Amino acid sequence: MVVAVLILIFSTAMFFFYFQATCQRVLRREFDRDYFTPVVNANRLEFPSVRKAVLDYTVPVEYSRFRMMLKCDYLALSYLLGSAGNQQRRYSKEDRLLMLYFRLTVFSLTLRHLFHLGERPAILRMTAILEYFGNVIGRRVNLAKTGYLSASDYLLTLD
Amino acid sequence: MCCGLLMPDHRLVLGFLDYSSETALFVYLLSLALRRRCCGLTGLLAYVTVSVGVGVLRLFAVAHYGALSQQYALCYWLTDFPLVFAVFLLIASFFRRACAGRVEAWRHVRLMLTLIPPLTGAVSYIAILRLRHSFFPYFVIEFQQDLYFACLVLVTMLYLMLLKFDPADEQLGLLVCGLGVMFAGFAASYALVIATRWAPLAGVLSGYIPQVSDMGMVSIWLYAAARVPKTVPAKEAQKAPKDFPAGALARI
Repeated sequence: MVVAVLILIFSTAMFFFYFQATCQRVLRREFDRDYFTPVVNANRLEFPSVRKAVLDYTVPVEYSRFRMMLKCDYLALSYLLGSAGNQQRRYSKEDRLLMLYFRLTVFSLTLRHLFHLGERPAILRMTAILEYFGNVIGRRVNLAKTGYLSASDYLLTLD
Repeated sequence: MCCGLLMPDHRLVLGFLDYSSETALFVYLLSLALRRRCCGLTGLLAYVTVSVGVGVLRLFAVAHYGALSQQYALCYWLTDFPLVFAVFLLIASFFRRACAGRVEAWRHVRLMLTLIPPLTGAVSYIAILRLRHSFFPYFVIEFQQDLYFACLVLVTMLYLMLLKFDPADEQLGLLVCGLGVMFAGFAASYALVIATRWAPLAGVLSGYIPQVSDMGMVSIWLYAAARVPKTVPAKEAQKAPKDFPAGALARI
């Protein structure tokens, strides 16, 4: 009985650990350039400034403000993910997985705040997810605009 | 109320989805193998073949005897043994891949892997002695819990080893994460049944959790096989001849 309870606790913890490790590996996907910057500028997203503030350890973390800013960015980006440059008008499996991961990270942020465990890691994880979404949207829009043209092909079409 | 909502029909649908995703992975890996692009995924293909075969047997048992029959339950538990053994061999192949070019480390790992089956056998023997009056259901559940938990510990060791040896091999990392999700789900569901002393809700949940975690594993493996290329281990990359040595470029 005791062994079963211990196994249950350890296995549940490991389930979430491997889920997180999978999401982190998906997030590590490299893009050929930073596609998220135009998306951030066009939609006035705030996650880069939140990340900058969190990485600056001299500034205290404004929990409720940062949480609200990141959630608003998430709503905007998740809408854009399903519509901007997306011909099928539906989320891919990776998008869905990372959206679930974002929601779980919001939950873990709430718990961290309640138990005074330090919010910085959870906020940084959330900004990383938002950056990934920004990159995916930027890349899709870029492809929709230029197709698979090379730089020289694109310049030739301008004539 | 909750138990009423979670009818066996849903479990069958979930099981069907699970088998479908596994079959899709099997077909994809087979197509890679036929095009000779199954580099480093041969062990995975072998395991998925066994798993799909077991799935077909179980579907056959459901179709003939019904999902709630004792024959199907017997078929399910009996086919779980070769499946766990196959997954143990798959983990061994992942260890082999992680230890590529490290003879000393592989020697230790091989010894450890050889000791695991007799140790699990010893644990199950103790379980037989303790539960001899109601052998079949309790022993099988406890044995499976121990076996899956041992595999979960092995996978965790493999993950840590991978972080230490070759963190650049993203594909192997994702394959191991998939295994971890599956084992953690299986071990948790069996432990839940034992910890709650076969409570009805735990019994119902234990029917769903393994299938959901199995589907999670197959999805992660599909992603790893389709999207993430195999990375050459750092040591092998050092050995490989470099194209265009500096002298040749200077001559051009």
